[in-house]
Amino acid sequence: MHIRRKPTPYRLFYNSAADNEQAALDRFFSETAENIMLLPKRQRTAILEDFEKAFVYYGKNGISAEDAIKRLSYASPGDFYSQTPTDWYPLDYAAKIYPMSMNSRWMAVFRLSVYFNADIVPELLQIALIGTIKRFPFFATSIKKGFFWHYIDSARHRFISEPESKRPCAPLNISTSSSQLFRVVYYKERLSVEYFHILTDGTGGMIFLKTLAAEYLRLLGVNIPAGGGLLNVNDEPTESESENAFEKVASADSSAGFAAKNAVQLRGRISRVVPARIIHFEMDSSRLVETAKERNCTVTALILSFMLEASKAASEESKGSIQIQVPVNMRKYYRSDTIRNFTMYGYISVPRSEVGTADTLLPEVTRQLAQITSEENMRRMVTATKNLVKYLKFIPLFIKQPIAAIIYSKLADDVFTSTISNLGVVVIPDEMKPYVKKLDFVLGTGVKMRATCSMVTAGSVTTLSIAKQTYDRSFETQMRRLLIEHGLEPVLSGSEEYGIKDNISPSRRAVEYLAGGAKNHFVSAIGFFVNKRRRKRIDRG
Amino acid sequence: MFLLSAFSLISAVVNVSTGGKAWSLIVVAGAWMFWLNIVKKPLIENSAANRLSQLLLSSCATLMVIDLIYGSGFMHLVLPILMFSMLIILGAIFFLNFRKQRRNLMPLYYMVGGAGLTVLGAFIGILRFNWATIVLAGISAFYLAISIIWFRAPLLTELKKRFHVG
Repeated sequence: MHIRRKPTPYRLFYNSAADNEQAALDRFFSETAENIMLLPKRQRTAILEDFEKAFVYYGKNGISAEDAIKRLSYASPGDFYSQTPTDWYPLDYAAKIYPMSMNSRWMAVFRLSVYFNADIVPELLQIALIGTIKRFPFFATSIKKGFFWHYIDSARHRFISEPESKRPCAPLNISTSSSQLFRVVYYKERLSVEYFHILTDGTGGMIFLKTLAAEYLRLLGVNIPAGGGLLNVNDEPTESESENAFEKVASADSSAGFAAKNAVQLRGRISRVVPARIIHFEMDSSRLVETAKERNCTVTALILSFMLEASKAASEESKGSIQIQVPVNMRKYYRSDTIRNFTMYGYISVPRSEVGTADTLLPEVTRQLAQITSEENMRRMVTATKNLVKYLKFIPLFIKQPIAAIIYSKLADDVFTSTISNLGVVVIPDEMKPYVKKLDFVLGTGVKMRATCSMVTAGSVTTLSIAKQTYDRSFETQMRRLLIEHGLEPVLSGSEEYGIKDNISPSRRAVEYLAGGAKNHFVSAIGFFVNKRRRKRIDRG
Repeated sequence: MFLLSAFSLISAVVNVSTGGKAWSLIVVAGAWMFWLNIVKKPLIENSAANRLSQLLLSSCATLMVIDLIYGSGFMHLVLPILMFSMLIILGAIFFLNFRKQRRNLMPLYYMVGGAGLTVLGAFIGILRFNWATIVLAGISAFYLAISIIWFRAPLLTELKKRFHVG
């Protein structure tokens, strides 16, 4: 018996097209199929279906097949998939620590989002991603384990965009060779890309996001010229874009030390699921700049002084210093086109007992900030990192990895109260401005650090985001108070946008308390037998 | 992890208190094997070939511990049989789908390395030299030969990546 199948939406679109358009569609699909011939069958089918869905979307919106072919041809994969990839990349100096320190619950992830004026069209976003990834071969990779170090190996498969279903900056599944080292997600009008930090830093991530957003808008019929940190997807990638730019930095005479004393930590029990809260403060960027200018400091220094005051109010430890980590973009000092990591960090430190009001802290914060972000200091940090890599290079990974995980938790987290990463002003091309409402940047939480702050300015809006590991609200409440007191009138948004409940139920709180309590008792018991000093610290905590 | 460590520790304490053969080492090896293959989820390169070779190598290690403690001598035969069986499976996964697996060849060559050590063990008298060892040596040599003849370039590239120090 012959079963008559219902025609697919694409078949209906195809049938409705004129003869010459049908021929053009056939040509388009046969060329695309040829370009992706090396992919496994399932992925080839999926990519062809992606294009079919895009055609159907265009058909429903009254765009002619000819125009649709023109738009989609520009985003076609070209010869990206037509050869077996051979490129591989050793991790850059900043990235080496991330795969060694990650675990099933924590991974160094950050997220950049762009908010459009209308809801995302998933069909076109998927095509935009197919079109964009060929311009970023360094992003079309997976992570592999070498005998001495991890490395990044090029991979060719269908890269996917998906509706948002997880908390921001959730660990990525990178366990197979077809896993992505970044995640493209969308929710209503928000398009977000979450990156595993081994791949890139905020600057590189922003170039990818802007290029993807521009490609998406082009598919919607808005042409955005390349330039200003936005790449043309059909240009050839250059070698300098995937260089390890740290190699450019000449070694300093002396190297900086990584370690410092343990910092004061914010109060609150670390939640089992992180981030427990996310808060965005949107402010008028010109008012923020004016406020900083009035006080003769930079915007970063102003926010740092707010963070110091808020940290004091949100912590209980009476001794120790409040130490805030500040990533520094090395492109400021060394010209580089790299879209990989090229960031080092410094930190400012003020004894908790000396932390007064934000305004009184400003001179000291400004002085320390200028000192730690100086080229000389950054060069010393790079030298220290290079030396460390040199000393460890012949130690097998299976020995290095567990030690590195412990050291990272100690060096990167225990020694900092919080962190602030300011991406600065992101230039949005004029042609793009009418379609983009704002950008935001969320830095994933640390291993133990209770709060991480991140900031980005686009157009007239500066968004300060705080990702929290605890449900304790003291820090963000203080930050909000300080922003209001300084006339910045922050507009608050956050957790509820991501489906995170701010008020956890009493039963869930009890479960978290008991789970945390059981763990603490176990640690205390071990500490009792092993280390008296450690036991004292746990009791204090 | 904590539970398995605690379990192993308790076994060791009971074993030391009661005396006799060091059976607690088998408990420790079993707990480690359970943790490695069941509890721990590899975060990177969690491929079937990797999991299989990990399972086999940990099984071999556990078998060696059992044999060392109870001295029944089954390891001399079982170990090479297990290894060549696994080599055949990994070889089939790799060579039958070379285009896809060419960048995933290390589990096979780690296994060949393990087989080489086993054969070396037989040569220097730690293991008995028997038919299984000969088969194991033969299969390993065969894989090495076809790799050198047909897959020299990808193999060298892969080795360069895997053993880079920069």
